[in-house]
Amino acid sequence: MKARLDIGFWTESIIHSYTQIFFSKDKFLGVLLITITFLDVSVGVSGVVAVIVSNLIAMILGFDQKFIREGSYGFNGLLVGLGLGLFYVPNVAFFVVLVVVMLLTVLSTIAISGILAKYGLPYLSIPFLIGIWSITLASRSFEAIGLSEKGVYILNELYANGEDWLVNTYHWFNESNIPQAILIYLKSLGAILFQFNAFSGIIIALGLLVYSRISFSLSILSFLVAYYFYWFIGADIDALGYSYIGFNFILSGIAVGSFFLVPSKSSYLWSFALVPAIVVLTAAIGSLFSIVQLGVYSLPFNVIVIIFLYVLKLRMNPQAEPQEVVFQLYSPEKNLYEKVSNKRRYSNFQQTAIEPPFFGEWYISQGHDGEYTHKEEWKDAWDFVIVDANEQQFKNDGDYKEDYFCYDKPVLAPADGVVENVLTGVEDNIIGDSNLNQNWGNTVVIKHGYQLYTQLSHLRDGSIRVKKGEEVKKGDVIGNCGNSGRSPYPHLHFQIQHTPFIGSKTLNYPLSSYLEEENGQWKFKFFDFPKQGDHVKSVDTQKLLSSAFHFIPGRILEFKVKEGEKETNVKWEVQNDMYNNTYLYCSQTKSKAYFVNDGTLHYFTLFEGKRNSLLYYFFMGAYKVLLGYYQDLKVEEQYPLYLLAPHGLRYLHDFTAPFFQYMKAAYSLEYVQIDDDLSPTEIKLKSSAQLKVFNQTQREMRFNITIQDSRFAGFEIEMDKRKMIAQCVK
Amino acid sequence: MEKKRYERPIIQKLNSGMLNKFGSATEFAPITEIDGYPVKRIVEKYGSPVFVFSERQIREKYSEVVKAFTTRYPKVKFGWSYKTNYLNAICNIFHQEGSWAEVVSGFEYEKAMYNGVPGNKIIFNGPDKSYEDLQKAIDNNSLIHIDHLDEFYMLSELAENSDKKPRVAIRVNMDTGVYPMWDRFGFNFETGQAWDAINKIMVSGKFNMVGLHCHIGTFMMAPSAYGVAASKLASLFLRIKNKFGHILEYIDLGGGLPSPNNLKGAYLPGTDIVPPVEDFAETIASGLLNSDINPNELPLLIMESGRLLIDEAGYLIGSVIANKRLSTGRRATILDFGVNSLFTSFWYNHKITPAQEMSDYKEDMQLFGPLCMNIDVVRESVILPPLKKGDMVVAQNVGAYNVTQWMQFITMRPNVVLIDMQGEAHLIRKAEKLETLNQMELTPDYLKSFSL
Repeated sequence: MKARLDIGFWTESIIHSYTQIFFSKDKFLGVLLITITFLDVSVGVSGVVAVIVSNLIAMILGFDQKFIREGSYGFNGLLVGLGLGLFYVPNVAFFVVLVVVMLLTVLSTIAISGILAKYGLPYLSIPFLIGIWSITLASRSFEAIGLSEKGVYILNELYANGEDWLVNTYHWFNESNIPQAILIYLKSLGAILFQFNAFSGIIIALGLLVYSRISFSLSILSFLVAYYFYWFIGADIDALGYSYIGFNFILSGIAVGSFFLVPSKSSYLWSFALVPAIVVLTAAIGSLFSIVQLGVYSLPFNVIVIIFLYVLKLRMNPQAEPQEVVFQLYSPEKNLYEKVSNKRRYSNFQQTAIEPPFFGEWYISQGHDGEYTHKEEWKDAWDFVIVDANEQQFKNDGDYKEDYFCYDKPVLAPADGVVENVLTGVEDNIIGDSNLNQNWGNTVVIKHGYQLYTQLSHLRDGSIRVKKGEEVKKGDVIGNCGNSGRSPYPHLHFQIQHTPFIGSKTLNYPLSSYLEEENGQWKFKFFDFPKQGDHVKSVDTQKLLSSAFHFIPGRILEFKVKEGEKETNVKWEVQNDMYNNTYLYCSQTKSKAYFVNDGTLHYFTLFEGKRNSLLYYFFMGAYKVLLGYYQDLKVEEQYPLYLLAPHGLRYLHDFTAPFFQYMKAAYSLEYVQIDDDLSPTEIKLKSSAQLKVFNQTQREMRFNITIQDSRFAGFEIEMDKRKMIAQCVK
Repeated sequence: MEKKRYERPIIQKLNSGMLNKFGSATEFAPITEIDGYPVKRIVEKYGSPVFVFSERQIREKYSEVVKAFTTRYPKVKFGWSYKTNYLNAICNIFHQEGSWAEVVSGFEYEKAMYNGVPGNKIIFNGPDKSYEDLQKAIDNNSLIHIDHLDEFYMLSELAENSDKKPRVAIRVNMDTGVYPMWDRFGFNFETGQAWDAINKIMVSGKFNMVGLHCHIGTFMMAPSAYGVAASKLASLFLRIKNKFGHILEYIDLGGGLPSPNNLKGAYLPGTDIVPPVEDFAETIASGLLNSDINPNELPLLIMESGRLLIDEAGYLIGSVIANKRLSTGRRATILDFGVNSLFTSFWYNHKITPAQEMSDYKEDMQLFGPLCMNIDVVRESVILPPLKKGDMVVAQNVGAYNVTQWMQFITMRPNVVLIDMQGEAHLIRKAEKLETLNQMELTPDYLKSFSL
């Protein structure tokens, strides 16, 4: 623990403890929320004290500062603190009890998160429930702390605060003809912070709107679903209006519809579908708890959301819609645009890269869900052969296995791994015959990671060069293509599977990067599934490109930037965090550009920081670079929209974005020039970032990248009549 | 209906020979068209004799051969061997397919430049490179394959005065287990000459050493020899890496891969004894892959095959001038092409086929060319149907070395035609005329006239 008081850290950890309630890290929202709690000073103070105490306890226990800073340990304590501040009279005994309750809350937070994290589930506000229930039940026998009457009659509080305008506003609200639904919505929103009034609701709604249009719209929509469901089943709508339960629908709407799931039509529909379930659960728990005179609070929301998220994880295909958020950016919009921008990378985040297991160009004679043998349990496999210009697999009459172009060609390890299983000794068939007894023929199974195996089958008898337990590197020759097993003609069967057994059930897993022929041109494919009839080959990397984009942690890049007469110096350092994320860091602008380099491809994943920094432009200009040089190859991708679109324009788009997107931020990269194929010293790339609204280009940035001697000799940026030239000086 | 053609009768001694169920039908099916273009029309249009190349066959063969290598080894490049056939149209087909140029003289170098090959994609081989040639190669950043120490000294001199580092490789000769061993080109591996030369180059610091080259022979029938060559070069590659920490860009295994031609003295026809290109690709690729070279540092494999790629795509159409009976009673047929046009008939028993339908009767005969020289024998002995004056024949597998080694001797060099991918004919080299020769000659005034 640092002895010095880090004000930035504490401020942030306090603000985030407030925003976490709405699944946000938005500072503006945070300040609004804190302000609202101070409508009742003792509630406000109690809240802040609760947060600080909670965070201190987590700090003393030595928990990760990152999570403390994010408010993960603070927000449950805050909720308890706000509740206590409202219910009890603040005196010395109260604060002592508060500290004790905070300890209880923080300990339960940590314990519950420890249990649920194993299942990849959030703990939401369960610790709050434990805290508030405990103290409610226990305080009946604590004499030193007395119940406050504030919660009973709100006008008293307002007068107590001595502000006339508050009272007036309050009256205005009650007297104006605001529809009941909206009024209850606003009150429910305020109730989240134990501010059971419409005024707080308006402020919170405003903060929510600024933070996220998607969350805002979901909060209204799911509330309305609940409201009309109450009406439909004839339940007492007033019960919604006079208790702390309306926010259950709002929070579950935000959580399911936009935070834990990527916002989409289906996430919206699910968040609505869960509302009636929460209503039922609320009523049920409500009648049960009334026996002991306990509030239901957020229990229904907690139960339903956690159950639903758990169910989603148990699906056959967890990547199907609605899709869970892979990398939480604490903004529904960012989560959505990230996913749209890179659908393939998104759904394969941090997965092992499996590349084609051969040299040169091969042809897929049977793909996934094939018409011959790739069915049912074995549907996600590929059969590769080699064909000539006429798509013929053999020369002469094809009567002999040697006539087949693929026969005896080297077969490679598709990624680093350990040989898990080898089957040898199966004779190659004569053409047309199949060995159904030894279906897979000579086979190698390689383990690449946890529950990730590849199987290469029908290899030539006697060609397998690896032994069980041997380590292999990507590209090592493991055997040769043959005609053994159920193979009427020579081909390579390639499948990815969960288990190490020969002939395991196949896994629907993509090839990480390869080239595919489309209309006579080679196109780059990224985490994709080549289909039957496709010509594919693996990417051959270019040393100069590879070394230029090889950012070793610690490497420092210094640029001289010229814009007109102005000249500045920019310095970046390659850094990595404890989670092995690597990024370029610009200390002058405090900007970070996270990237991944898998040896074949460099791509940026996330940008944090200033939009006018050189690092931002570099992020945009080298968003995704294939590290092989292919003249005329075009690499195309979409940026997350928030990186390019101006705020106003984008905010409007946010409302419809989960369903329909008319704005697009397109990236495209071309390989312009290489001075020598063999030992190049200079490579020129050209890229552009275009903001398109209804397919009309609204904004464009153009980049020229020159790589010389493994460094960025020139980086030119052209946009909106500005022109910048950056030169790497070190 | 066409008039049934007359064939002169033959009297043949009954010779039972080995029995087989197919009888003794002629093995040579007539070639009446090339890529769908009738031979008769070619001759009508371009005269006889005439060389014909099939673009389709060139491209198909090229992609077949390239694929044999690229599906076995990750990085492969072909350099078109200019000396095999340097007609511009032919070279450009290969360049369109992605081939670099491999040249062995200043003249060929200029030809490659003329064709538009970028200097850094020209491989400069051969023992005879002048100062001017070398200077040009340095300026253009070409790949200079040093053949002998004298060349190294010349290059050192030039490098001294140049701001560019010459990009060089050395040619290595070695024992690959075949006879004859070619040791007149390059530096020997076994005696340590090659290592010595490499050290000189590396230590001088004036060069950018980029590769290793060898060319172990010509019309090589043993794929294993290439495997030996590949692993010997790989060992040099590793030695350079270990001693100098320098990783070479490429290993060039040269050419010498055979076409299915019938080599003189071979007992069986070429189609039966020449190993398929797959075998060569396999031994070369595994020679490199099985070496200790780190898979991430595998050098580019350069192949300089010429004959293999072009031989089968070339045809020579000729006509019968006359028939004769020799004193021994053997039949002799005189054709309008001889060793002057079909130079390779010195090495090969070229497959020669009639260009029109003939009967199944055949006789042993000798084929002579039109030259008034005793050496002009196209085939010492060939079994063909009785040919008569004006009949056309097609000599096959003539694509390599003929249109470069042909002689203007007694007759002129004939037209060369290319049948394109659509089956259209293009004249790609005009037949020489008297003016072609005369324009080169200078006659002193006093020799310009005479009276007889």
